[in-house]
Amino acid sequence: MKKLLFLILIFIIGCAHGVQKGDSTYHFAVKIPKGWWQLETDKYFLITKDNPYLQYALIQERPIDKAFQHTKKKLERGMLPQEAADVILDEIGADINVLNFELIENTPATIDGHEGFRILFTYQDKNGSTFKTLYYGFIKGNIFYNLRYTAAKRHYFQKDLKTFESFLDSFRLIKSQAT
Amino acid sequence: MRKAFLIVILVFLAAGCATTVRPPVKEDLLSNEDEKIIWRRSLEEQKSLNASVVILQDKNLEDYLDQIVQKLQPEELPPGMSFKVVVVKDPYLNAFAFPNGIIYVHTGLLARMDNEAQLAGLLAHEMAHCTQRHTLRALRSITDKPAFMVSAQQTLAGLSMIQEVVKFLGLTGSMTAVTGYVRELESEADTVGLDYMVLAGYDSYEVLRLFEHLKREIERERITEPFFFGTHPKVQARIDTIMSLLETKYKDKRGGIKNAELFLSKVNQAILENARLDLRIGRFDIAQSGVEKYLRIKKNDARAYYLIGEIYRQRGEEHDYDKALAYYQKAILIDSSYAEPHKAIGLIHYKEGQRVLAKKFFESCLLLAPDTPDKAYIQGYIKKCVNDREG
Repeated sequence: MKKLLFLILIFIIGCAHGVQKGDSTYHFAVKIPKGWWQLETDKYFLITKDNPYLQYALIQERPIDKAFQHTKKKLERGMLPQEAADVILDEIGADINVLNFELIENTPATIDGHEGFRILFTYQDKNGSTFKTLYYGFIKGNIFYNLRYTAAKRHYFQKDLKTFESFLDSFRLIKSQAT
Repeated sequence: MRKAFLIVILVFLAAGCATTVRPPVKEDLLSNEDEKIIWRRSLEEQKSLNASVVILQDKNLEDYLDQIVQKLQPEELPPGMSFKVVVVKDPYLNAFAFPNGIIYVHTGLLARMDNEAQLAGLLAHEMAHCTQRHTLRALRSITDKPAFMVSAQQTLAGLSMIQEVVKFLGLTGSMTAVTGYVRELESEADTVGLDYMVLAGYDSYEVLRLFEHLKREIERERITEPFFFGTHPKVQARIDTIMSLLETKYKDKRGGIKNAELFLSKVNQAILENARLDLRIGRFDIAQSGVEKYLRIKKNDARAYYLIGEIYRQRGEEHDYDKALAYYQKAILIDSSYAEPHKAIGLIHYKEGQRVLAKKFFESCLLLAPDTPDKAYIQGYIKKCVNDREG
């Protein structure tokens, strides 16, 4: 978490709202909620309203053959959403920064018409703060797309949940570039 | 003030990763302020670790471990020290002791042992660290405090492939669990530990067999773990010291208690749990060895057959699905009310496009476990099976 925060602060580029078009970096388009800041890291498309420690939404395009950091499991082309969710849950569970992980929900979901999964969980960081994450994921070709919303469990998660849902609804793969 | 206190603690506790030490202290080690600080800190770390979900709850095993440490412990212990063994659900090779006598053993290490003598050898080594006050002695040997602080912090910061247990450890636990002590102190723990083992009547050659077994596995599986017993040079050092003692001091002491059957009957749940953990982190071969070992102890356990099936299904190499199906069927044969293998068979048929068969098994899964957590997925599969047939 601290590493992520550090990256975020380093690459902070300012405030943006409107429509983020897919470009050479990303193969998707998404509408950034009004008043949210777009932060750029080399790994994610990430936005926040106040600061990432309070809430953030991110989108990641991850090649499925890229090794995970905490487990030796792999995502594969043709995997069922449930199988992909299990791989992700194992990876999250093995992460040092995720303490007292508690899975609340793991269900199928559709993201921009693609069959995927939706997982909801809480965890604590090393400072004892509790966070809640809503994590959507799906595999398209050789890319695993994931869209996450993480916020301080108390107060912030519920407060910005609807905004994240709108953000999620606006997500579109750009067909010409999506593999 | 608080910051200064923290720095003092860090400096003291960083001793575990020292590379040079003065000769062991000779003065009385009783009731020192610095030791009190370490013990207090240890208690805090233990509290957090014990309250976490990583502790294996198995009363039968706990009682058995208590009996072993009672057999091993010397008649006189330093004031306040009391031995207790706690099993940690962690597939990596490790055991470590806090200076107050609380010893943590990972399921990963228990799963590799063959008998009680091997376990006794390991516990005796950890107990020797406590009775010989290695934490205190290590901290008193610090000559360059800032350098030790940096070293301690680097060790912790470098643990990127961190295991479950380290999440809950502070500096004391991380140091004893990860870096171990300096060579002299580790050798002393080997020597004193072997004394405890022999005095309790155990076959001392078994501890050598354990470390040789660990070394072979580390080499064969190319295990790279940050923990002490998962590190090739450190395991080799244990082998060298113990072999030397067995060839000299204990050359006439062959034979003794092994208790293989009793040991396996007590640790079997830990072995199965450990196999589940290895599967979770994708170490399929190690997980399989663990379940096979468990099945040699408990031949008709549906959960174990299901777990082997899961190993094959999740690995997904050529012919793995066929092997998985065979194990799931065995699990069902033993326990027809066990829902999980029904779901797993359904998943394989579903992926292979055999929708009629898939539907049958998904439905039987829901019948057996109507409130299964992945009900929504299964209902979705059934719906698709119906739609595909109609389409």
